[in-house]
Amino acid sequence: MSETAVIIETIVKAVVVLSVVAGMGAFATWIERKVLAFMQRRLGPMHVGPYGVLQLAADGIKLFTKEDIIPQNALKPIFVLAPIVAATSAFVAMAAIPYFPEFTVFGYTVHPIVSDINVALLYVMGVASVGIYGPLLAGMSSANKWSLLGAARAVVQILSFEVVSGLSVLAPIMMIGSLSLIDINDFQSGGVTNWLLWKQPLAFLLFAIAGFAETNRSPFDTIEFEAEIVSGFATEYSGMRWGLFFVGEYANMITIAVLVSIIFMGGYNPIWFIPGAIVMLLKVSFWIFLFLWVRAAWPHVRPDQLMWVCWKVLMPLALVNILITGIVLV
Amino acid sequence: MADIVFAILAIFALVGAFGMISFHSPIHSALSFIVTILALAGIFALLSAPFLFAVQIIVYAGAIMVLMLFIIMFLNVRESNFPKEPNKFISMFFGSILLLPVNIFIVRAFLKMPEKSMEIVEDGFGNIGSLSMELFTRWLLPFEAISILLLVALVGAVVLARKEES
Repeated sequence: MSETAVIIETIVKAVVVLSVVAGMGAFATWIERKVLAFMQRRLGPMHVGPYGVLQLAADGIKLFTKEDIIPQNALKPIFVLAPIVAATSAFVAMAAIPYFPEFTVFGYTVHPIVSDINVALLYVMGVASVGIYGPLLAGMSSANKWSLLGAARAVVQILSFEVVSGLSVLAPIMMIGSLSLIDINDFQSGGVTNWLLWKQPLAFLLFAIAGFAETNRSPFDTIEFEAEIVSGFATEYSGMRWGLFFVGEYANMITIAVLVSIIFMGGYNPIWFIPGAIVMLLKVSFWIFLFLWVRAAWPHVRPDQLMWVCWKVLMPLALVNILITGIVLV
Repeated sequence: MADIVFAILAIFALVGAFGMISFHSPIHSALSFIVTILALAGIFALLSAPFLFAVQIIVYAGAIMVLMLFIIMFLNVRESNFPKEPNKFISMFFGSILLLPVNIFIVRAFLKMPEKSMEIVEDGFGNIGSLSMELFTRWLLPFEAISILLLVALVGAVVLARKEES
């Protein structure tokens, strides 16, 4: 295939991934409000459109047309840059994720992955970790104490839990011997019993906990805990700039859901008669639902409790898990 | 194609490096240094060294520079705390003229190097398997020595940060 064709194909894939994930993220906000409402015996948004679906469009119009306020003391270029960094890094991380099994359209085989690199897992986690600049720069440039506190909490929390997620995912990688997400997926082919979840339950648990913390979801959402620090790093943001942070957060949530499904829950291998693509969608939806369920069910933790649990409980457990995996493998 | 990408990345790296030394406030300097780091990561990817590419992003952009910015944030430096740098660009210009002999020496040394192919090595050159085989067989001793060095730094940091019993 010629070079131009590859470039065009990559651009098309990138645009598709970008628009589908952005659409899913927007839809997830509606789902979140509905699920939370039902769990709290409310109805949630009901008035705009059937069951309030068009609330999405209303919110979008509101975000786009809202007055854009930049505080006078803020460092303007960095203040403007921060939400863009948050959103782009969340989407760039998706370039190396295979979403579905490959399929054929008009005799042409499509690989549903933007770029198949052999260190895909490292790439996704690395680029997602660059997303930390969003909150950090926002908090630094806002000239607001709550923003600064929120940024400090964000950096401490995300950097700490990256250690846990990196170490916990090392044990499955040792068993598979590859960092490519496609290899990780193929390793678990052949039914539910081959899922890595059963062989690495501790790593699965640690990775899921770290995923909750890194995406700033309850019970670990100390970064924007309203009662303590107003809205954290995003306090001074309004309109579409705030919307970009929001989109980035939901994109990160989807990335974590896809990663957990691929690494521990068998990825897009078909189960019984259900084709792989549907299986993948079901798993990702389940994880998004779990994020919301946990938010409705559990209270916050304090930042110091969070650090305690990260460095004194989760990290030693991850190291012990690596040690045990190494002994078993040798 | 690779040449175009290389040229773009190289321009980003140079602009970032120049911004780092010429910006007045430390936040802007740190940010333009991040641009350089990311551009270098891209060049590693172009040279088919995927592991180096990922580690460059995770370690330098994702951790080290974040901590640098964190420290800048907590020191709370104000505009009035910065040293006034009169004639900054003139002194930079003369400084670079003074460094010219060193640069000429480096260029000459580069030109005298034995003839080698400058093509990009194909896949499998810089991936995790081959890299760790090299690290844990031929370069095992230096690797372990560096690990001990890092451990010493870690212990030192813990000792310095410990609260004095009073």
